[in-house]
Amino acid sequence: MKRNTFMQLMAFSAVTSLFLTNAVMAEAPDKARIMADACQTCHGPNGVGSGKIPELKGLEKSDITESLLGFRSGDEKSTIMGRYVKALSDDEINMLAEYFAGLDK
Amino acid sequence: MNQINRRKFIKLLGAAGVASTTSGLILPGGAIAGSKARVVVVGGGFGGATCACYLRRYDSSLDVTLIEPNNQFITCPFSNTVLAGIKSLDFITHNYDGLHKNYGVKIIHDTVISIDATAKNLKLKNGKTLKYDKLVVSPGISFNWDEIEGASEENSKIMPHAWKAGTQTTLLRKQLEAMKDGGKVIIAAPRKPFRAPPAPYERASLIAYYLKKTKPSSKILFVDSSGDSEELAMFRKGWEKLYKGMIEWVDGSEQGEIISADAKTLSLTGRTVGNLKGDIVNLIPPQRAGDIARVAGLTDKSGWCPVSQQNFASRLQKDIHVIGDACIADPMQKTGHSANTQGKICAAAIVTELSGGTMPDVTYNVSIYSLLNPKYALSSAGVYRLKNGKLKQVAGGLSAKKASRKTRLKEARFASGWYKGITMDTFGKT
Ligand SMILES: Cc1cc2nc3c(=O)[nH]c(=O)nc-3n(C[C@H](O)[C@H](O)[C@H](O)COP(=O)(O)OP(=O)(O)OC[C@H]3O[C@@H](n4cnc5c(N)ncnc54)[C@H](O)[C@@H]3O)c2cc1C
Repeated sequence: MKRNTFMQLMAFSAVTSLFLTNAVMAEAPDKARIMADACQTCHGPNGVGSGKIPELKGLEKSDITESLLGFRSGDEKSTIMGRYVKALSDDEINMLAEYFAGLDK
Repeated sequence: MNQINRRKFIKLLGAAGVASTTSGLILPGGAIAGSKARVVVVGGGFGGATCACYLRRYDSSLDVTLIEPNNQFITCPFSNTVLAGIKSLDFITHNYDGLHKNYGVKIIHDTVISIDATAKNLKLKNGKTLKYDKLVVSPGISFNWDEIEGASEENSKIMPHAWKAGTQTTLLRKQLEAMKDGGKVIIAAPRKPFRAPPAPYERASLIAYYLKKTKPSSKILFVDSSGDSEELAMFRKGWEKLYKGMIEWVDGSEQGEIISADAKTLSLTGRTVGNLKGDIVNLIPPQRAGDIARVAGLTDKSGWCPVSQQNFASRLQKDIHVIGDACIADPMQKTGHSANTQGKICAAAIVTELSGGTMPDVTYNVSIYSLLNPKYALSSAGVYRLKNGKLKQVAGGLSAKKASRKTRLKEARFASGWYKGITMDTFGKT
């Protein structure tokens, strides 16, 4: 390949990938989305549809935060949630509550 | 340029003489740039189906193809309830329509027979070759038959493992139905690591549930190569209460491991456990990653696949990720929930990588419910985080040791809810 054409090509592909990363590519899922998606395994798609497992959709943010904090401290009784929520920071609890409260009602 | 959308951009490029293909934009000179990467997923079980679904949920411009030989997937979770006559095989059978219709996953029903990591393509049984930019492999397990003299795929038609659900489940169920009252069922569980460590406990429980109702003088001999554990102790306490005298647990760990099996006399032998004869022999052999993983050079000498626990990228082959039972994700156990979690994390990591970002610090969550009867369940939960590139358990644990009947019932209801949730989530049902 001629050096000239090669350089042109390189320049072109560099510009193209720049455009692609800046404008064209899909946005990667953020922390809130990835962690909320984990909840759906048990609670069902969008937090509904898993029989006796409580629904997450349509709840107020403050209700979710209160429950999760209660599970974590043990003040609110649970079979399994207490065992899970001990892993979460206050910020993460807040983030998840906000995410589920924000789902279409 | 920031506002321009993908399609317009591709059109523009097209006008400029740049070809766009399924695997991205082929620039003059052959370099591939950009999104619309082609991701192929091998295996439509808990890991693969979930990953295919979430790849499309996270980036609908991705070209995602799932390859799975079967038209339907029969789950191991809840297959013990089929053995006990509580649920039908239909109940644990799922199709791939949701993944295709709701999420645009392309589905090819075929078997992958080889993978060329250098050329980035794979061969199907039907002779076709498929190219990929990223490959995700979730083939589940294969059995190490040669570790037990006399055990084989062929002999599993007489001494079923029922550790892959389907005809094996039906076979063991028929044997249980045909057995006379007063008969003996041997359950032989392998050493770790294997698929679903608490599932042999659930199996012993639910077979006892069935026998107690229909053939109450029958017995279960449970030879357990995992040895004793805190979790087992909780089951044994439950068995005392529910099935007193029916289940005899034998420590089959270390020298107790089963070393030979005889399909003619329906007997098993281990060094310290001696010769054990049953009317039914449920022989669950030691396991390794599904065979295609070895064929593709993804396994190490343990028989399982070493991966980065951050994105499940193979440590042995480039641009291939391995998830589910096949990968080494310890301390996560090999379960459907783990495979589902890994499928999501892997999908997020691939999309993040393709868009040039870095993965946030997230938790990996799992739980496994086991039924002792339809109204009594125990669970084990685990939450993990990456610390210096390695997963560490940060929360979780077993059900409360002491709990009321109501709590065990509640967990049994949650077990059913979990099953509904995870199968909808995995198979893209809405
Ligand atoms: C009795 C029993 C009870 C269980 N109960 C639970 C439970 O309650 N909860 C839980 O979380 N887990 C449970 N499990 C564990 C769970 O079934 C597995 O951990 C889970 O299926 C692993 O998912 P996977 O994607 O790795 O493999 P699989 O789900 O087995 O999927 C692998 C898929 O890959 C396909 N495949 C293999 N090779 C190829 C190839 N070459 N080309 C194309 N496709 C291929 C196979 O056809 C299969 O569909 C249980 C297991 C058993 C045996």
